[in-house]
Amino acid sequence: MSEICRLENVEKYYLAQKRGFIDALVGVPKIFVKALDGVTISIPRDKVVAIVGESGSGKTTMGKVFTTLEVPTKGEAYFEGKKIQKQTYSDVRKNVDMVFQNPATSLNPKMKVKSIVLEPLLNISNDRKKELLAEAKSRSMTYEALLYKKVEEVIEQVGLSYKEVKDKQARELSGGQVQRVAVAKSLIKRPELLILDEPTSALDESVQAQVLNILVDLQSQYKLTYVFITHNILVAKYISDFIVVLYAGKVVEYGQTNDVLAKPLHPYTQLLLSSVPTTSVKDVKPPVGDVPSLINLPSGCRFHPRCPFVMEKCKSEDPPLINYGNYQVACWLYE
Amino acid sequence: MLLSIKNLNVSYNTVAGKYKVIDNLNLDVEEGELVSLVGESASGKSTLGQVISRMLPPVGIATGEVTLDSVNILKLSEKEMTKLRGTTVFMIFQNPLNSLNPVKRVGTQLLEALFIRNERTRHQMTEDDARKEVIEAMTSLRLPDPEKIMLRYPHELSGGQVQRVVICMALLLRPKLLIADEPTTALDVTIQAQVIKLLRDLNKQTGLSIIFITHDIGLAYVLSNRMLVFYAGRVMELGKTTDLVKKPMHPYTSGLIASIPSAPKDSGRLYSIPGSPPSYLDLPNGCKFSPRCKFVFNKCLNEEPNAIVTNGREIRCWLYE
Repeated sequence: MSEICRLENVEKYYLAQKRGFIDALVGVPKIFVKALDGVTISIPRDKVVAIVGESGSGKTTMGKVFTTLEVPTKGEAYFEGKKIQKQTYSDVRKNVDMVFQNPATSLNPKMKVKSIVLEPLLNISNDRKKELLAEAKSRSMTYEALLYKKVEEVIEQVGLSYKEVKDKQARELSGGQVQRVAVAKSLIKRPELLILDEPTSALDESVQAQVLNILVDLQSQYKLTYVFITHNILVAKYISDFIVVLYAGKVVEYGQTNDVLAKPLHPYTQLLLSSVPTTSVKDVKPPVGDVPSLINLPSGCRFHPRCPFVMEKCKSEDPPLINYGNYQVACWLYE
Repeated sequence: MLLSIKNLNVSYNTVAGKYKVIDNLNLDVEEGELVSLVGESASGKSTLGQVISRMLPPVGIATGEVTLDSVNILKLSEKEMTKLRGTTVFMIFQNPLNSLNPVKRVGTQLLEALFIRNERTRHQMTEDDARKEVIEAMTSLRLPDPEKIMLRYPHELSGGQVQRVVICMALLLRPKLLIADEPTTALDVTIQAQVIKLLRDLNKQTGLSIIFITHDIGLAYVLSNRMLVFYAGRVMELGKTTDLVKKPMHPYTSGLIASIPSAPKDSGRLYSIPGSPPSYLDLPNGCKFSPRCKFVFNKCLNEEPNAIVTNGREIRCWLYE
């Protein structure tokens, strides 16, 4: 299984407070929020990888590192075997795209839908441009007409009527329609990797089902790789092949979705799964306590204050992510 | 009978015209019952919550009878209603931060709630005792370091903690009916599960009745004994939660349940109800669900079905006439 991108020991720290010149002079210590803390992960090609976790676990930050929107404080990110650096940003960005959580705020409110979807096509690699020019010649239409043809095709693909929506602005559309426009905008440049950040969390269940169906169809049709960020385990179960469980900026479990959801190894995954209300069991068993502060993380394993199986070792030493059967898990229980 | 709603109609008077949001609703809630209202957005479920707590926006007009604790609250003046809010009916909103005063400490606000209860029940209590009771209530909700949290402002707490502070307020006011309008939508699954457990414990220990408004059928299933399914301001199906979820009868209920993802994608496409909910300004003739229904026949397009009772549940569909 070939990989499309990979993170190696990535740390992303944000300054928790503004630190002025005088604070620096008198030596006020820097306080960091550790959004990602030593994440090593490899994303397989043509698969759907779901990233799940509570809010503040670093899901979105991880997505932003893949799309070069955030530069890791430490560690390296690789895309197609090449290290992501400032010089390679433009190449990476031509092949990676992101759909954001709130579709209404990620689209330009003054632009018409057709211009929003067209925009990515105006900045494409030279190879793709040659391809499109050749296609325009063979179909005997102007280059511009071809671009609009492509816009029409992709809008129809995401299940919208081009005639109906092309001259509308984002605010004139319903939530599900806006989300589909955002997906169309990302798909038109044929990215190899698409990061979807909670694409259905603002939608009703019946609309969510429509959007998920479209995403699954497009993925198999174009052999895309999805990184699907969600807090909804049921959605992750439906769409993903692999699942990554994040807790307080660290990967605690990684494996095939069927395995992990059927037999979770890490105590946090177990509790997370039993917190999900479903129509099969009339009970929920949540973990006690709250997510730890990302500024003062607990010593040792960061889950130990909430863990039902806590041991002495957990309080002092942080477990590494180890291979255990088909899984990767960070827990002393499996040492 | 704690709450009895008869022939309730609610309409909004707007510039675009007058439209009916709730049509001829009847509902009884017993003491100690857990009732959930489910439906898509804009189906009128929040409006019902607002009617019961008399918090409709000024353009809303409610007619009919809403008897809460043997008083018809629709006939009360605003002043009389204020006396019922808090101690008789208490409402929790989706965004808990909006229900707390941002410039007052949490402790001050909780003590205020307790003083209001004492004032209404004409009960004398010293400040020390009041403080003790507040701390007790917070400890029972498993809020860590209650004394420290009392000194904090709402924005300094996490989402789950703020929601628990609001529930703590309900605990102190001892209402007879709690209306929870999507109280866990802004929270994480684990915190959501904690809040759900808490509400269930409260119901068991104090006999508090809860009306739980949500769009998540799984959540409604875990929490409630009885369930109402709303569509376009009408109750499409009403019955015991377990029956409704395991054997939905109305095509809308079964569509909603089928669209919850439950299996991996290899096992087939997700079912989704085609189309989108109708606009209240332009409701279809006949059954309001007919344009999206897969069992639609001629009668559905012309006549609207009445609610009928079969198999111990109320249903609004021509299939069961």
